[in-house]
Amino acid sequence: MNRDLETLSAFLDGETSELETRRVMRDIDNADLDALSRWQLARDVMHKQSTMSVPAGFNASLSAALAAEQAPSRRPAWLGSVSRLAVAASVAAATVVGWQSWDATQSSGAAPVMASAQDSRMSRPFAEASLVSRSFTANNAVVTPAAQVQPRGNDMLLRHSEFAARNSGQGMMPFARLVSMDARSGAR
Amino acid sequence: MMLRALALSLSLCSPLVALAEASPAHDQLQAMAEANRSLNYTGRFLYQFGAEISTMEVSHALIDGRQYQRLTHLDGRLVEVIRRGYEVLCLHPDRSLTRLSSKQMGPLALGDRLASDLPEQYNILIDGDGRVAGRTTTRMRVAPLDTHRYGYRLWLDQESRLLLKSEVVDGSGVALERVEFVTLNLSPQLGLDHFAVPEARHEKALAPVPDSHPSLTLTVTPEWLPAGFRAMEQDWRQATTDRAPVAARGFSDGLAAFTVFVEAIGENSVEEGVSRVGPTVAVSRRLAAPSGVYLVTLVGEVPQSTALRVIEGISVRENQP
Repeated sequence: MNRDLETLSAFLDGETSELETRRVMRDIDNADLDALSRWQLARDVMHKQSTMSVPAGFNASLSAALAAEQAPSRRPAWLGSVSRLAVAASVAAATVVGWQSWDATQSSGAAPVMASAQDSRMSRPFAEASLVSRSFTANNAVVTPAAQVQPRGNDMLLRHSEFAARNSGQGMMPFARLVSMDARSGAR
Repeated sequence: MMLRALALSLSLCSPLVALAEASPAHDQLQAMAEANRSLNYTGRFLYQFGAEISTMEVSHALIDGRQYQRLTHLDGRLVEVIRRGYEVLCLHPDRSLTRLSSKQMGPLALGDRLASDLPEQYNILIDGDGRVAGRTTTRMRVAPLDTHRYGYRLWLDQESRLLLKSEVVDGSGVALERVEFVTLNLSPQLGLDHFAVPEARHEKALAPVPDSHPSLTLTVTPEWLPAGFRAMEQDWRQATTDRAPVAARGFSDGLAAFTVFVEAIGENSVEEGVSRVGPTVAVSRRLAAPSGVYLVTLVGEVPQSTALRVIEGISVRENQP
């Protein structure tokens, strides 16, 4: 056990900051997993949720997922390079989601962990959320790079943002997305 | 209004209570849309998705009944988006500028729509108080009742009703994106010069296509839409005359929005695929129709499964003369 139980408990409740969350993910060991597993069980019983414990092999599968992520993967570049996402963040997302829907994917291994990231069931609608992004999935994608595609992607983002700004009732939010994406796509 | 909101937020503190019909929660959302549209303000905020954080500055003013807004990326590369009434400009990192001006904004821009009918596919709750940018806020949760859209956690300024913090939350409770103000000034001195067009090295416009263009006889129609989503008018534009015009048709449920783009392609190689950034998904797919081969692209803030299902059902039809 390499950290105080308070942080671990906060992590289980989704109350850790993004930085802490990633630190917990990085340092987690089997003793921690045992503790997490017990607490989760206790909490689920208290809240009368169907129980789902963290399997003992979780640590190994997380490592496998991390290793798999290290391998460079081909990503479509047509929307600019905006799809680049941090390795740690995407694995964290898979982990968080993996726990929530673990009962559906009992078999161990990295594949179910990653697959569950696409699961859109409302298993934990509004617990305090940790902010993590997903690695995008490009199933069935046929990626054929073309030279002129990036400007087109940017034009589409602009048109979509302008539409969304008028129609989503969220004021500047769509433009904030556009600014962020444009700044990042230009960086690479 | 203030008192009622205060009393409510006090009484709702710990147990969440769902409020029905024309609820105070609903009023809050309407007030937010109105405040976002009509108030003059400046501020700085964080924009965050995944491990990426941007800092931005925003100023917003209503001048002669028109909205003016300027967003500036403060770190990394300089990007600005400026809205001047019916025109939106984007200054890119390479100092080039893209202009997008609408012919007309249509009969109603949707602050009004949000006010009149936020779809029943969302459950809206007031969730107590919070503090953002040193100001007291009302926390709200907008939870989708199906899996075709995302949920939101919103923090509204109690004084002005402006949206000060916002999270887009997916079905498993993971925040995909966060915006959070750190400073807010509600009485700035903003004139037209504040929203002047920046100097650019190169400029292009996404201009509407002339009425005579043959593309205009095509209509983009979805076979399936998530409940509550409505189609807006179709819009053809082209960046330069040597490139094929691209049609756009927007869809919104009052909170979430996506846009479907269709362009004619020859036998050129095109990219199909899916990519995601924060809550934004982009999907492209080739579509063979009797009138030709098209590339259909959906860009929007909806779950990937929704986007894929919509794009599967997109058809392109030639209008009867």
